[in-house]
Amino acid sequence: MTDVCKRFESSLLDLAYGELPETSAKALKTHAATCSKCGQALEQVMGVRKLAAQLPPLDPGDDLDVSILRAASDKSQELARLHGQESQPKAVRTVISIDQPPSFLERLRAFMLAPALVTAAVATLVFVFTFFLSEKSVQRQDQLQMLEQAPFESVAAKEGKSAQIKEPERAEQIAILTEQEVQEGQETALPKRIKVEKQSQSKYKSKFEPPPKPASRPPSDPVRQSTAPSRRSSRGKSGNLGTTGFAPTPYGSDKSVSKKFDSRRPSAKKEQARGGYGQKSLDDLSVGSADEEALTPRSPNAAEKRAETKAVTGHRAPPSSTTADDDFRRGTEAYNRGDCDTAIAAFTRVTEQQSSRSAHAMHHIARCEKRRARCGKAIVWYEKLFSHFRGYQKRADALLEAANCNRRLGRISRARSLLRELSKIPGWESKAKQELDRLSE
Amino acid sequence: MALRYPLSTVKTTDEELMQRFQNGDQAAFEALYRKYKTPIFSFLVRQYTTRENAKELLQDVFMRVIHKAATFRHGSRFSTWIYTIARNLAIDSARKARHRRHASLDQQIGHDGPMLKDRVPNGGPLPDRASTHIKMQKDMMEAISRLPDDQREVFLLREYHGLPFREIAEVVDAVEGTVKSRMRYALESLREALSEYSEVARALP
Repeated sequence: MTDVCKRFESSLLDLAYGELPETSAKALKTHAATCSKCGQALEQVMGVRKLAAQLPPLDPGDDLDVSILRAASDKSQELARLHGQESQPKAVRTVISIDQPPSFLERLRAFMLAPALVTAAVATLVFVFTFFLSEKSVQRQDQLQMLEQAPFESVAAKEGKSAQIKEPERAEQIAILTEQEVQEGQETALPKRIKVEKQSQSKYKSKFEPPPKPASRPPSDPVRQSTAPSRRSSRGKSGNLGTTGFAPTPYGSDKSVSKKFDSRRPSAKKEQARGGYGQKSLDDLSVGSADEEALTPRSPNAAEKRAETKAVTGHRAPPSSTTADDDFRRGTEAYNRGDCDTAIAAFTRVTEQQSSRSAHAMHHIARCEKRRARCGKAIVWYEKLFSHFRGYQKRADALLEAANCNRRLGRISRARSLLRELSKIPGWESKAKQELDRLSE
Repeated sequence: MALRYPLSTVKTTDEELMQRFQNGDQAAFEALYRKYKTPIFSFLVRQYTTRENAKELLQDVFMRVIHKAATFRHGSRFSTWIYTIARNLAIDSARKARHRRHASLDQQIGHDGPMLKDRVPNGGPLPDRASTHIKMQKDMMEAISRLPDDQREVFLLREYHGLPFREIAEVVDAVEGTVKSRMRYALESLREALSEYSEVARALP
């Protein structure tokens, strides 16, 4: 073995993985071409490398994207505040190309495009503002019409109030119901994949076209009519809404909507004092009631979706007449008798139908998984619940349960953050503190 | 106000992206997330655990990146940092799982690791050539899974994740010579295990 062979052997890995400077690599390759032993050694390593390259990467899917990017969004806002600047508006963000260096033409194009972008943004703002004004006036007319026509017996009865509701209170209830529907519609329709690409208004408008009314629905439903435009306009809400209780979406920001909701903050506070947005409608409305019918965002393709789900997941398809309520009832019965498999299947169908009971269904699925000592799966459902339904009535219970699951799996930091969140809910401070102390032990 | 180049036109390193995220730029984090989620997930599945657990770990890894963003030191490599986080979380999780483990009907007999099926991509009904390819992939994966943990770890990080030996040494907390030695053994074991595919390897570009 010559000195060159010894040097080759000691540098073989660096050579095979391209970690040598070009001159050294060239010299060693020349040697490998003349020395059969060194040449064979290099060929063997390269052979394994070629075979290894046939193994494809494993894709985790995109179901984690929402929660991770939402956490990143919250953190980036916090960091931006720390640095005394606002984070970049999402609408102008584009996909980052990491691998390709910028060419002169690309830079030139970016430079030329900048004024055009500003002009387009201003034009869009003007259009959105005009659109919002017209929507607002139509909505106000609808609300007035509704106050004249539709009494709120059911809601009033549920809240223990008399049927005689004063005009300002009615208006407030309409506002609350509108927000509930907006929130539910927004959250249940939250797509799995977050696209970083610029979202054009028309694209997501067409994607979230309001579903056609089912035959059973009354021809003129004042609540739905009045809320339909606001739901459509709320799709673009972006960023962390914090105390407004509306989950952020990955789409472009729509300042008009945030202003609209912020203007309702007094009623929001009242509602939060009663337990939070959207809670009444999710939990207290009876099955099949007229109010729930009005509040439930229904997909026109629910039957198709069920058939598709069956094909993909192997779940037994329910009869065509089965509604989310039936599934929910079946799930609850199965859950109560301890049949977790049936319960999970039924509740999963409820979540797929984007029912107003989706939050409850997710919570029950998580509980079933927890009951079966599958804390990992339970946590996934709890996280979905937290990210999609911020105003869920039993959020406190869910937070506590999720914290316990995380504690069992040794994820102390996550458990702690959930308990901290729990401690902010009125009435749960002492329990959260007790659990936090337990966690510290 | 500092001029910001549009992200799409500038070649950006991971470290620069991380710095932008530290300054509150969410798009920079999204770019890092898109770039690293599949490699980290593949690493976790192939080195440590099942797909299901790997998903949870993947979430933990990125949550930690988010929450510890401020602690990332400039001058160090982002890839080294994130793989170190992934490795530490996976090892902690495996350790805890070992303490919790009870006898179960689902438990594998004689082996603590994940099932091979969890580590290999799914395949449907296959024509001959494709089935040969899938068989080779399965054999490859099996050969990799049989490597000792320390050798497999080094092999995966170098072969599939492109970390230089110096960075791998940082991630696994060993000296570079040790890392190369493990890599040598790993390559030798794989060459023996996959000897039947030597002709196929020659034919590959």
